[in-house]
Amino acid sequence: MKIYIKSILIMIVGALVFSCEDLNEEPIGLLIPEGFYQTPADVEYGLNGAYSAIASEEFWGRKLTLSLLLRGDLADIGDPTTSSRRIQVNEFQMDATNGMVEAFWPRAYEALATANSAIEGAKQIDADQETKDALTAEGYFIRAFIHYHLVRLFADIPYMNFLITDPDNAYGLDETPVDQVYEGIINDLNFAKDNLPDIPEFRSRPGKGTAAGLLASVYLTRGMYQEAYDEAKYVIDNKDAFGYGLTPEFQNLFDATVIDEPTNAQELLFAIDFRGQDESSRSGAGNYTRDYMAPITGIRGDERFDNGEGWSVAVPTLEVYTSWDHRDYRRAVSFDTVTIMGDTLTNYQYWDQASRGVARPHIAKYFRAFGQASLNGRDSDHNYAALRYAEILLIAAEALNEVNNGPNTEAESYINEIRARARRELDGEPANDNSFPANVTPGLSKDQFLDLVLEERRFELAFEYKRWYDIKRRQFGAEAFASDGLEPQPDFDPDKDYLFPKPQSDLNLNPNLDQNDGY
Amino acid sequence: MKTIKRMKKTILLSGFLMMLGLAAQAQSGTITGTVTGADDGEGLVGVSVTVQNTTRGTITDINGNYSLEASNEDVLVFSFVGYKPKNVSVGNRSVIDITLEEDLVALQEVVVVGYGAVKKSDLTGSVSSVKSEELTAFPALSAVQTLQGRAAGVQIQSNNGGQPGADYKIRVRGGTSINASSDPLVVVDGFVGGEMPPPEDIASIEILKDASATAIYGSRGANGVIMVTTKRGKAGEMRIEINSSYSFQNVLNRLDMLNADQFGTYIQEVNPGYTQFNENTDWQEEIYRQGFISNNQISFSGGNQDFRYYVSGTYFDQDGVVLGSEYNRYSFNSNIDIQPKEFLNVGINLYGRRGTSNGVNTQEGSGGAGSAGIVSSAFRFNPDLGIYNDDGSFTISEVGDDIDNPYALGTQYNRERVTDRFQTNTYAELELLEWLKFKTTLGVTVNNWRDGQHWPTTLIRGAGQGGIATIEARKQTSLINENYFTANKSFNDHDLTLVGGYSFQKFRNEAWETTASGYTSNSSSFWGLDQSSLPDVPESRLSETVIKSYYARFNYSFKGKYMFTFTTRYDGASNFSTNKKWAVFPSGSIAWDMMAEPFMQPLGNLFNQWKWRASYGLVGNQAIGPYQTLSNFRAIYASRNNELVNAIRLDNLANDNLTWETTAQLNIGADIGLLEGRLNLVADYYHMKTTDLLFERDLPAYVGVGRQFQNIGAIQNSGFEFAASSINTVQAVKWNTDFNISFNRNKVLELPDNGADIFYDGAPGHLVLGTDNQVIRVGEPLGVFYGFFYEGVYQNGDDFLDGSGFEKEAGGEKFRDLNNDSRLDFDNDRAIIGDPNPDFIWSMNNSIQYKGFDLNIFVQGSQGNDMLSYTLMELDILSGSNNATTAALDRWTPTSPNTDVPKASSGRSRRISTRFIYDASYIRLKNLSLGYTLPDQLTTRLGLNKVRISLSAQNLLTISQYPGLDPEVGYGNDSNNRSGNLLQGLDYGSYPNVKNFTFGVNINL
Repeated sequence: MKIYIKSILIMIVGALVFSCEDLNEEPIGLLIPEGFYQTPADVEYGLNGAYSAIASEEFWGRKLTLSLLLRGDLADIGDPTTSSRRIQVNEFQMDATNGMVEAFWPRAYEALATANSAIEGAKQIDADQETKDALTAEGYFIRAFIHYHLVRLFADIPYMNFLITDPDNAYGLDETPVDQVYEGIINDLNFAKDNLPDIPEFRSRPGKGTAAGLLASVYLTRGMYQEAYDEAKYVIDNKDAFGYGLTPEFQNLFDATVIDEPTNAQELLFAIDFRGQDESSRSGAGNYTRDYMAPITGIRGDERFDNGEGWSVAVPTLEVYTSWDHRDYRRAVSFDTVTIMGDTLTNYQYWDQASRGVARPHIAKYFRAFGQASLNGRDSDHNYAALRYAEILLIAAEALNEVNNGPNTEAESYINEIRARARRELDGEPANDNSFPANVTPGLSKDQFLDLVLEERRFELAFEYKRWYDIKRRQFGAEAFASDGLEPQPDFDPDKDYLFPKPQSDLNLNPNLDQNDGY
Repeated sequence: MKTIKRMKKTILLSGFLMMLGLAAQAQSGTITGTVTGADDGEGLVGVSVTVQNTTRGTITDINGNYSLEASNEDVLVFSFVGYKPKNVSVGNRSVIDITLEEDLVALQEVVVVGYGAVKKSDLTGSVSSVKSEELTAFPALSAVQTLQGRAAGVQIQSNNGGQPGADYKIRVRGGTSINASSDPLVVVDGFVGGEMPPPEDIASIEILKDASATAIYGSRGANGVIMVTTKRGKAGEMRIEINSSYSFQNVLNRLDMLNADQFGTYIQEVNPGYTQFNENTDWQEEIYRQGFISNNQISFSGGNQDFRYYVSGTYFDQDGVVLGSEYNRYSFNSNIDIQPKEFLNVGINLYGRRGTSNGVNTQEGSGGAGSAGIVSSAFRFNPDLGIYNDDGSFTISEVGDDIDNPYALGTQYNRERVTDRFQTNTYAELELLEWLKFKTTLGVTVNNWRDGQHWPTTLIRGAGQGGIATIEARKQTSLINENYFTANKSFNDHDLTLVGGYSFQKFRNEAWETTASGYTSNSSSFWGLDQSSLPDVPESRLSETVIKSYYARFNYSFKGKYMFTFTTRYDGASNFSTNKKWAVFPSGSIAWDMMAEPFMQPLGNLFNQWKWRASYGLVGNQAIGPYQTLSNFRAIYASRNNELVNAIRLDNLANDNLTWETTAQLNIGADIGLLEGRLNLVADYYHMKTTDLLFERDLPAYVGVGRQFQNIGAIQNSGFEFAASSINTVQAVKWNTDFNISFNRNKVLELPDNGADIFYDGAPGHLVLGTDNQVIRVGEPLGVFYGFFYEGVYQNGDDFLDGSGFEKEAGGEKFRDLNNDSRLDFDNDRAIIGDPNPDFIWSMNNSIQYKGFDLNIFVQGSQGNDMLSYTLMELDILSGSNNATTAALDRWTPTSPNTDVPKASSGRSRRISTRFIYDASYIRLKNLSLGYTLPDQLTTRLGLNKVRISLSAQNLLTISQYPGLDPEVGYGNDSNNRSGNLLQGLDYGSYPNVKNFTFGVNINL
């Protein structure tokens, strides 16, 4: 009997021992949002995530920037066998399933969500108000930067200044009209301008001047010229406090091996930082810090580098090259016209001897000096200038022209500053400067000066993804793509083609999103 | 001698018990005798001889002899499975010889169900039983392989042909899920999630199919449950059994490829500048060899009333038919049952095994440059090249992608996986009262595997990187504790059984892996990752899961005529979401033995049994992985000042209401016995609807997280199963036939986003098809293929349809314009072109015995299933990127235009059309075996009990129209791949299926 009772007791005890554990999951090895943001460093991980999404192949690495490049009149398709989604963008034949949009739209929103998560996190951490505001300001800047691109490309968009946690809300979200989006952008940038540091730690992080500069661009796009001039002037007046100036040697802005040096980096208000050759150690981790603009614009059959040839995907029309004065140093920096092919120096006229080669001058700003990179120059070290001081000067000039109904000395001085830098030769010796481009002739009319500024923007900011936005805000697509324009595109339709189509996948999921006209 | 000693002990114990005051006996003495079987007059071993109404008893020995203490008034009860029991009064006799008659009506058979065993006659659910002999009919690594075709409604198919150690896909009544696993639950001796032991150690397998049987496993029962019962010791002299078999294997089928000259002509049509090389190699010949399997088992079993044991060890060794593939496994299994007290039974099972496989790369996900698998390379590679270049290096393909030659792949690529498993299961069963028992079990299993791969510099993939090596390992532990009461009460005509219990199970999974490249030499293989110059970031993961459950079953039977069962399980799992942690799974079933009714008496001569069964219940599929319902960040990196810094991004959006998938199943069946059990029929109709399917649903991009797991969607499986077993003749020549056939219709009922089609494809990545070739569509079954209709070849003067990327010239592929707009495009001219689900599957087994000979013929088939062959598409697209099959000899040329094989053309895009969809129905002679059991006189002279030798052949004959290698392949379905229902009927680079010739010996000592 004793054994009998003992056995029962043992068994019951045995059974109870195992019922203590509860069913709540406590994952180890997974990062859980609750309790993640404790210190400013944690918020920076979030902000880093947003920068990383911007510096990914799907956004600034290729898909967005290539779309902007091809869309403008400064770059055409080089290799006609390249993927059709790129050809569609270039030739104004896009539809709602276009592969470029389908790639950069989600990436843009990934950056926004990460930024919003970091902004939420900044509210929760234990730190003084100033630190919190600075981090929040950075988050706001990122938000404004992304929304600014999206609203120019798509008009009415879902405006994300909050984190969605309940997906049911997501499927019925209303899109925000353009004016409200700009309101949000301007509010974000104003807060950023007030709370960001004067001199940020790195050029790839925003400071007061960055926010003000972007604000200037926003106002210019909106036609608010007085405000645009005010913001640009603010940057110009404080350029020493903020550490901004024109890089003396223009070529160095596009040389990944030297861009980090302070003399060369001084012009950068906001750089998108890529790091080269980290492909193999991080396989499968996503396309972060991976850029492809070097091979995209590079030359097929090129033998200069160990990394191999470029792909001649985006190549300007011959007109772009020939209409650019040969005395302009910037043309030499922006174009490659001779390279090594078949072990000999070959001029561009013969570049089609290479398989899939294109016999036109190619863009040099990315392929000529990509630093540490992988095959064909992809995954390079470039720091792309998303906003640089030269553009601030150009904005100031254009805005002033509008406000005063014509150029004044101040406006002309800004253009002259840029041209002075463009007159530099490689040796840095002022005595050896070119005489071209000469200073602005005074006494131009408002329209003449406007044309001059727009042309100056074309030469100064060539192939830096600005041209399409200029065409759009000044509405001169019909001339740019006419048969006598820089890049004839018969399919350009001004009623439709100033905007991109929104991706069909999101339109399918949310009936409250409306497609842009004509698509 | 030992038997006598044990006999003495038994007698002593019985005597002792008698002295404790049992009913006073009159004269008692020793009764002896022999029990023989009526069918062959041979002594029956293991017959239970007990004294009625006492606990005294014994078992007959090898020769059928027994010896027992009994008095004149006692009645001896003789009983043995498969024979009619006999009761005999002792009277004045001291020697009682008995002959037992065979009981063809196997109603006394006991069937194992969840948490108990039920007499077959009392069973109200749908359960199929498979016996040990069927599981060991031919040598197999896993009992799953020999289970194929043995049970109605159960479809089993190899995932990779005849690969040594290949996985098998098991489906019980169709696939019930789209994104989650549809694999059934395996329960080994009550251990939920235990590993299937070697087939020689298995006594029987029961497959629980309907809700009434599976609901007791609650949230894991939706895909059916496979209950495995291993062999246990029986009281009696120690029995030693040795099973050995040796098989020679050969490839079942080869593809007819072009030889060097034919290849040269073909490539020159596409690329006139091609110069043919000088060799002529048959690559399939280079990589195929004769395979060999040796399978050996030895087991010891025996014991007495108080202590019974079964111990067995097996060694399985296979050299695969493809160069460089082999598998071996050592295992031991022991079951010990002890009865220390009358009311207490305890036992322990110990199982351990080590399996080592050396593999080759087949069924590759992408066969582009440097990634080709060995079999697909054997098809694609230049026949005009030899194995070696002049400098001794291996040749590389000279057309299409750069791929290694198959001989290089077979000899240079190294892949080794070693899996160790140790499993123990202990139980204690306490009889609290005569009608109340309590059982507690504790099971622990530890499963570790390590997988290493090495691509040396002699292969393309390793050449550019100085050699690449990867190591991956898992350590999985699980613990299960079950506690349940069983109450049995019978009074008058009512029989009641109640089972109620609690179960706790915990899993822990550790995983780690790392890769590194750039070595100084190839000799270290994947040991010595620190010698590399370019290490990858290592990965490690941990997950833990806890499941707690309460379950109960209630059985009621009235006169054995009306039976009713109700089961329920209340499962809580840590994987489930915050708001839905617990789930209830009830089921009910009734059965009616119509033949026991008086009004059916007139038919009593024809039918001995006609039982109707009906059941309905809810069962679940856990489907949700650990941590899947939580939000989490993913660690990424960013570049800042040209340095990598840590960063995060949102990875998963929490779903606090995510639930498991639920299947509601209705089953109606009948068990019919005719001609005194000579003919038994089982028929079942079932209808299953699975709702709350787990989908990773796209969220709009502006949420910042791409997708979230949600429950949307429903799928239905309904069908009919029929099984017949007949004992045709029983005299000198015994002939039995077993036949089963199953029909299943799978249909998608509901999908997210208002039933929008979901397109996907499982094509090998390097084929760059660009579009999705399969669709999930409401109203259609899972796994259907989607593409163009191929209409033949354009001839001169035909109307060429417009469409970018389509050929518009004579000799090109012609497709049907479905929407009549004179244009071909992907959106409007494609439709569903094939269905890999079979219309029905069937099998038939015939066994014939005459004197000592036995002949077994097992045929199995599948009808109506289509196959999409990516292999044939890659070869016969005729774009000059690789070799082609001899079908290319019929290609269109201006001089011979009458064909439906298009011309060789370098610009041809690869696209899926009916040209590469085939009917893969087949009938296969799965096993043909002839065995001979040596006559008793001979065996006893050798000192043995039974010796049987057999010769058999597996997969001897296959009848199928499929032009590819074999209709039984499963590309895209390895054990890590959860899309087992979405990717069916696909063929790419699969390990070939094999034909075996086997010699076997079975010795009982």
